[in-house]
Amino acid sequence: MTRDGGQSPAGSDGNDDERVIATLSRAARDVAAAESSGPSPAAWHRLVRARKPPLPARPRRALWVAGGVAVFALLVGAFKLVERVRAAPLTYAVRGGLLRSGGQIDALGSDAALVRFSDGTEIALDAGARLAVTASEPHGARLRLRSGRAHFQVIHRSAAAWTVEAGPYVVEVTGTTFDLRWSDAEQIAELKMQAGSVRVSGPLLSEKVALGKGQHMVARLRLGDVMIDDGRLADVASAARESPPLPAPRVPVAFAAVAAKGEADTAGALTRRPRVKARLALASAGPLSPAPTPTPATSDAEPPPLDQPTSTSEGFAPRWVERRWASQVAVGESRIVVADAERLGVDTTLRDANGPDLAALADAARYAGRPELAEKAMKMERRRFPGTARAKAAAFLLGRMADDSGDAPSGLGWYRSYLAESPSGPFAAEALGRAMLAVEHLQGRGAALPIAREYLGRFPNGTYLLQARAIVDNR
Amino acid sequence: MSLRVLRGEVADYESNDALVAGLLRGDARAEIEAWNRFSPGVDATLRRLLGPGEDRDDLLQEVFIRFFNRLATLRAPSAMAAFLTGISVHVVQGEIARRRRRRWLRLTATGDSPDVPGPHPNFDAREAVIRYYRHLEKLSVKDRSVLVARTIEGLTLVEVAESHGLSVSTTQRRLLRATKRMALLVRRDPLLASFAEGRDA
Repeated sequence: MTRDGGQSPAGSDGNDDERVIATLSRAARDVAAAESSGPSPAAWHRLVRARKPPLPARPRRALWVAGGVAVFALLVGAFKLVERVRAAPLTYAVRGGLLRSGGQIDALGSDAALVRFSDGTEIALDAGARLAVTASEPHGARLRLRSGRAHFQVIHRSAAAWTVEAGPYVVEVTGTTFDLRWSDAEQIAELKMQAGSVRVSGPLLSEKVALGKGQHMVARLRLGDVMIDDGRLADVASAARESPPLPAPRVPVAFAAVAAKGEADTAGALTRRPRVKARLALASAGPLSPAPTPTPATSDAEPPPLDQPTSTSEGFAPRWVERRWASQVAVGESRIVVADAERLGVDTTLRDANGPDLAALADAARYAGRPELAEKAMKMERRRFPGTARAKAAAFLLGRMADDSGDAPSGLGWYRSYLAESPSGPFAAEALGRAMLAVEHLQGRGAALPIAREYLGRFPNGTYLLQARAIVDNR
Repeated sequence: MSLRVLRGEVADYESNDALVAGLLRGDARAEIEAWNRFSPGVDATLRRLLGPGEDRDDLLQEVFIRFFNRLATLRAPSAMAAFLTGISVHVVQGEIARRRRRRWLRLTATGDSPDVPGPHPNFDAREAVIRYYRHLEKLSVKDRSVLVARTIEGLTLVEVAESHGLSVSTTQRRLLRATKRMALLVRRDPLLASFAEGRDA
């Protein structure tokens, strides 16, 4: 039964257990032999499949990399294709006008013309207007309004870039609706916003000016002025073309236009500023806004006295385009601010600058070592914007400048002005302490004693504490 | 009767030495020859170790996978048969252990209710063998394997010891213990006891 004969536990020793097991084992072998059919060829093929080694990691990784590169190449190709399609310059069609060589479009005679670009942008030329498409690009075009008036409706797109030249002015557009007029003979550019915003640059503008919905700009190169308002002036003026002019409301309306820019005060104040009134009336002239009957300018009117304010307006400067000099001063560009003011003209700046710009100019002049300009600017602050915090502070600063330059009497005068106007102001302790020392210097310790006592009472921990005690103790 | 796998030209692998050399070279024809030469015997061994009615294809595949993978550890080509038997024993042991784990979790190897045949008028040798293999399941995996290898597969004590990685004495102790246990189980099973006595008589 077994190959090692005589060693089987199943029976050679006659053990009953082994005999039983041997009997059943023999039966098991017989049954197994009877069922023997052997493995099928399919078993071999399954074995071959099971043993088929997986792809080595490197080729598999290489396949993934190759696939990734292929997908990337496809994406890049698709992107390039889309870019190429999108990079095609805009095309345009002209209706009702004459298209000349070089993209010049003339709205002949009394007929208007319509220029329609492939992105949907439309430009309606008034009769007689002349426009040139100087360049057409994928995201916009460069246009030149040679003369006349045109209505622009630029479709807003993320990368839209349109520029329109009107005389020496350049209007940058991303998507908006506006009217633009240029008169070469009058040298007047006029822009009236209807929606969106644009940025305008050109003469009389020291920087690009952003114009928003409803705003209106008139630049008159011959007169050298630019007016920007919220559009109500032009609207009323336009209405005046159709009805008899109403002289009375004209000035308040003009003033309201400026007030909308946040730089004006009440209409009542304007009535006390006839020169400004005349300026505004002139600024409203032009074909889009026909000139009303000019109001006589009272250029010989004297400016209001220092302590007799005639207006509480701050930054009432219809000619002034805000420079935001304060931000430049804050980053240390004081000399640039001074240079800018000198380029514009110091007198013009002092006369027209709004409150923040004038205060910034005063600061810039002090920081730039230009005390004479700082003094002028601060005195003009006090003259033009009396009662304001900046005007009050100017009194202290003027006093300190005079004091530091050795002019103690002047300094004392300015300190007293400051303390009278702003007894609890931010410079009160400094002004009182300096006034105490100036009085002591000019009039003796006895005269300074009451000021020293006041100082110790009000500012017991002030920086002039020791000097004040010395005066009180008569040391 | 098994079918031979023929694919293209069959090299001369008459001797086990040449066959092993061919296998070690990775010659596909040697693998076919090895399959043709040994798979029937391995299949029969698996049939005896597992019992009737068991599906052995997966185990046969597993045995040959291990065989091809471990061929380099073969000490001598002449020990090829014992080498394959040892692999088969281990594969079956693993299978028995796996089935027991699955039965413990699912009651039966397949998850179905155990189909234990009751007394049958035509109770014959095949049914007795099936019943006997069921009692073998009551032994430990290794005792069962030692007993089956020795009594049913018919290996010598040394071969059983080698194929199980045991010493001869340990194998003998396991063999005696398994024999006694199985004899007791058979005697407690009237049908098997009568079958054994009838055959023995």
